[in-house]
Amino acid sequence: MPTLRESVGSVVDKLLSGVTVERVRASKLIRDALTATTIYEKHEISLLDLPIIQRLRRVHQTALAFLTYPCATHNRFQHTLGVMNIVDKLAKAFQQRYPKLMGLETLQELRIAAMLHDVGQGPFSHASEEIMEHMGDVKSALADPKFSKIQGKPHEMLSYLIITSDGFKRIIRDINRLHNVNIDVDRVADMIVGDMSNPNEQGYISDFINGPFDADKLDYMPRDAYFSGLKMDIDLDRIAYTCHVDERGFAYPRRLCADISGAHNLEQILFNKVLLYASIYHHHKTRAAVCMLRSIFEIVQDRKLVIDGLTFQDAADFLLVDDYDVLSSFRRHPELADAIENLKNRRMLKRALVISRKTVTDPMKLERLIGKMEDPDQLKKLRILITNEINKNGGKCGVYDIWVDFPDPPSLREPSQCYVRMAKDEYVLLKDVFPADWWLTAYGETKWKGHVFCPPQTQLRTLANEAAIKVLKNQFGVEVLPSATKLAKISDE
Amino acid sequence: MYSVNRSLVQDQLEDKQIRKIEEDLRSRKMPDDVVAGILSFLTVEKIPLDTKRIHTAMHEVKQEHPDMLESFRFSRGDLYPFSRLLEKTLFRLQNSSLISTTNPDFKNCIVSRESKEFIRRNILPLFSRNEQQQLQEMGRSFERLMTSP
Repeated sequence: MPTLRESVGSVVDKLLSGVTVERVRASKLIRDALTATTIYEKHEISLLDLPIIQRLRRVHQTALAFLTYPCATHNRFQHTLGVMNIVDKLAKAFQQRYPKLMGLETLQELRIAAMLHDVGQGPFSHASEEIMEHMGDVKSALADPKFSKIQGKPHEMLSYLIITSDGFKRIIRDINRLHNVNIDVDRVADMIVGDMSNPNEQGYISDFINGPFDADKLDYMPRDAYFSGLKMDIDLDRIAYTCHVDERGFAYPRRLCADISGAHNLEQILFNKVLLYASIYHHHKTRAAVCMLRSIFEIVQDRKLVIDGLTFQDAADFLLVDDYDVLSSFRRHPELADAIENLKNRRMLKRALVISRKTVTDPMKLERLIGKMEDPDQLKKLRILITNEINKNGGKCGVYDIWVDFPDPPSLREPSQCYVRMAKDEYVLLKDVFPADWWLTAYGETKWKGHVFCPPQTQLRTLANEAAIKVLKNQFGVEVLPSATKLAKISDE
Repeated sequence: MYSVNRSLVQDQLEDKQIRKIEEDLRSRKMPDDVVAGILSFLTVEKIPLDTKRIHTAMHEVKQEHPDMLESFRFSRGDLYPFSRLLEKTLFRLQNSSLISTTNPDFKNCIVSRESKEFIRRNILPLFSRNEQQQLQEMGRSFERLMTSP
């Protein structure tokens, strides 16, 4: 079995086969709906034109949320340009205050890191990432301490492996030579995974790309909100001007921190994050669509299908396809045709049961159930039991039509990973300024819920509801209240 | 209307197959069970609801018992070692009411006597005697780290 690094190296060779770096006549101005018009240097245009980056035009930023929010069709390429613009703004504001800590080359590399940070995204972004994170080759690769900061986001590791592959380094050498620049691709890759070679001295550099309040977050939050129609904003100017570096020295690593006068802007970002989860990412239709996509890849993997030479048994295969491929070439396989048509035409799975601490008689008994979400094999066994029960009672559906889904909560680690400067030499953690730990508690109590999804036919939904209730009780002793069925709105629809 | 692919509809499972799946679902230990097990051995009812302290303490406990906490990867180079899996696990334990927070200041995380009893009855039996002993030691270490000033 090749290692993930080797598989990714082969993918890069395929994607860059026959690609030569084109001479670019001049820098270019590109308009972005959110971050305005920005100039891109010649070497950046050479990079942006590579198929590895152009592929991001065909990867939806918010996975399948566009099936719920029709305008959320924005893509990873747009986000990439946005992150470049934002990191430029943050770094230039920082440069004014700390000219010795932000040289021209670092600024150039931060822009390149922003451009490349998402090249490891699979089709439909985080939806395929939910599959990849459980794959053996990804888990083995994540054991490398280099990737210790990558917690649940394997695409950053894949981006790192792409960028540090021999094939990609060859391209960077050509770009450096052609445009007379000096991009250190290893340093760029370190910024993306947040692991600089000298973290105590240089940690602040990767904080711009992979830190508590990095350019990635500062772009995706307003972008996802804007294209979904949610009213939300962040005060980027103020964040840029209140961003400092921890200057205590010695025992304190040199990391980015916020001045107290900008702390409320960071609070606003976290508030936005929670709102995005509640409204978009954890919307039950969005989750149903993610489950449908996961079924498609489950069928491919279980039936050992080969699609255009790819088996998707290795995570690297996900880098060779985009959203368009999934909706087109996958369609040619009879086993996948129905599933693809369902997704394309928004023929969605619907709720059969809504499970939360408020819809069960004894929440303690949920522990054994919701903990299973860490293991898709365990989850699948549960789905098999429910499917079997449905079919025993006259239903007709497959395990790929039934899902039990408890989405991962938002991570609110940022406030305890970021210092706020109260006064000269007086710093406190952001969590001591506003206690976001509570927010996660409140989110769990009021917003978070799991679902059993099934085909929308009313008879099947009723059968799935009854089957799920029975299996959950038998397996985990979980007894649901009438609200678990009522909230699924089976009879209303 | 959503279309079910009939060729993928499974045959009815035999009783033997069902029992095997049920047994596996009941007996498989998950990361959440390990953390619940550790918390059940706390002799105190309250620990500070402080992400930094909790993750740092659990990271130290992992140094003593790496096998039991194998699935928990902690970051290096952050202000403190952070594990996303631990964050998710604590969230889920809170959602299943095995841990709760004090009102109105949310400063403490409570593992009530009732919760500990539930864990002892329903979760600890998943572990072997040796593993239970390890969980007890881990609970002691975790408590020491969380309650020391």
